[in-house]
Amino acid sequence: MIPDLSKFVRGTHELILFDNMSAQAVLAHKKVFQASVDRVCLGNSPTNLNMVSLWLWKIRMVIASNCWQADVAAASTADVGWLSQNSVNVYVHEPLWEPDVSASSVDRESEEYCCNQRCRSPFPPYSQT
Amino acid sequence: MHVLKTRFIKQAKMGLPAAMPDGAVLTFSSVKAFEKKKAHVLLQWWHAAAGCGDLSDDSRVFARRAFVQNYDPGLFVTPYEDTGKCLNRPTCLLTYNGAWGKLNVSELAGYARDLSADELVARVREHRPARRIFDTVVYFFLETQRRVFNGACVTAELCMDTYRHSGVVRVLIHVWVDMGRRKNIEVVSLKLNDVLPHTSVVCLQRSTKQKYSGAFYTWVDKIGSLWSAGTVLPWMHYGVRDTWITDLFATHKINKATARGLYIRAISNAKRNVGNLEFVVTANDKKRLNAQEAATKRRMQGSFRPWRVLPEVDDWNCHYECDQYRYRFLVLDGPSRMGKTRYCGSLVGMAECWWWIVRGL
Repeated sequence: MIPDLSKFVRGTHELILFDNMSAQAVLAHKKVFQASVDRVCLGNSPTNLNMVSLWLWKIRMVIASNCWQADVAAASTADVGWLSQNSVNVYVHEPLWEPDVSASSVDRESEEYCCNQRCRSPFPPYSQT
Repeated sequence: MHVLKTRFIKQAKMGLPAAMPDGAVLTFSSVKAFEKKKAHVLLQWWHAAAGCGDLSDDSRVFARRAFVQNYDPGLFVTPYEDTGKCLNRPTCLLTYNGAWGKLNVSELAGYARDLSADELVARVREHRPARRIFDTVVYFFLETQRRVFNGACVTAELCMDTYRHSGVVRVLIHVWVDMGRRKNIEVVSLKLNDVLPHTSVVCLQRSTKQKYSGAFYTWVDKIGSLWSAGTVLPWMHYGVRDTWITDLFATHKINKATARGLYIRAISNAKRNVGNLEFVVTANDKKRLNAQEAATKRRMQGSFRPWRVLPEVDDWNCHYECDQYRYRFLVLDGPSRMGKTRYCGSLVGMAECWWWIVRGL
């Protein structure tokens, strides 16, 4: 359900990014995402062979998703309440990098595309200078 | 062929015109003049015979044999110079690196600046002057000097470093000699085409274990090896130690496939050595990949534009500054290619401090 956190190194890693994580997976591991002061045990099995115990207190947890709203809509009322109380939801509707204000209007339009015009890609946010 | 050559020498010594196989007629004023140019003339004679298209393979072999049988051991020996340098060890590795080894690249078919080692070797193997250099050294050591040394091995190889740095194709000759009970052979007597060999002592003691490492060095198919010949062969006249193969691989003389094959053939510690080899190659690949990844990220990071300031995210970041039992997590929700993932990296500054799990569920 949750990606392997056994290689997480406290003291080195300050933030964990869960890319494309679903709301259901978050709800199944609430304690992990709350960065609780208590230890969490992951990878439980009948023999606990691969169990890993982690102390994730104060570790920043970030989820990047493009279907979070749909996931939340499918959750129960109680889960929606838990998610709203334990998360900060930021909807990203425009690129997160600063636009190049020095460029002309034509350049600003083209700056959202990759330097290779054929690919017409709005990413990466490279400078055109 | 033998009669022809004998007649040629006899005529030349008598000061009479002597016809070369390629049609050239040479005349020497005296026996002394003949002696002076004998080495050059005989070598030219042999090359003309070897390069004659009318000769069959049998005739070519016969010509070679006839030539070798009458080869004067002192053919290439220059007037004695007392350099004081002697070969006084059981075995020695000689390296000939002369100007004659520098090939004219315009004569190499398909020569280019960025050829791989295998491609360059294939082209040079077709190059007749390079082969003549090797043949000359082989005849000198394996035939004419047969009575001097107990055994000898010769290899010709390309200097790949020179090719990579300057595009020059240079042929090196390595010769391993077993001097047996002989001592104090002057290095100057091994001068070939006006080039004194660089000598390196293979072993100080008369140790049979290390004695043949030089012979193995000349036999093995290294990166850039052209041809090799010798009277002492591995697994026939001596056993191969796995440490020799490890040394060659560690110094990038042989590639992985060659090293693997040699380890298996050496038998001793084969399983462990092949395992070590796989481990080392995998680790090197991983190291190279990591370096490439880090360099790419550094290069791209320099061209990033500054990130927007999001007040909600700043507030969320600040709430970690005070101690709490539990914290809120951040959800960046939105369409793809908005920079959400890279933006997370900017929250903690250094790229090493944030951990990116690519696949979530």
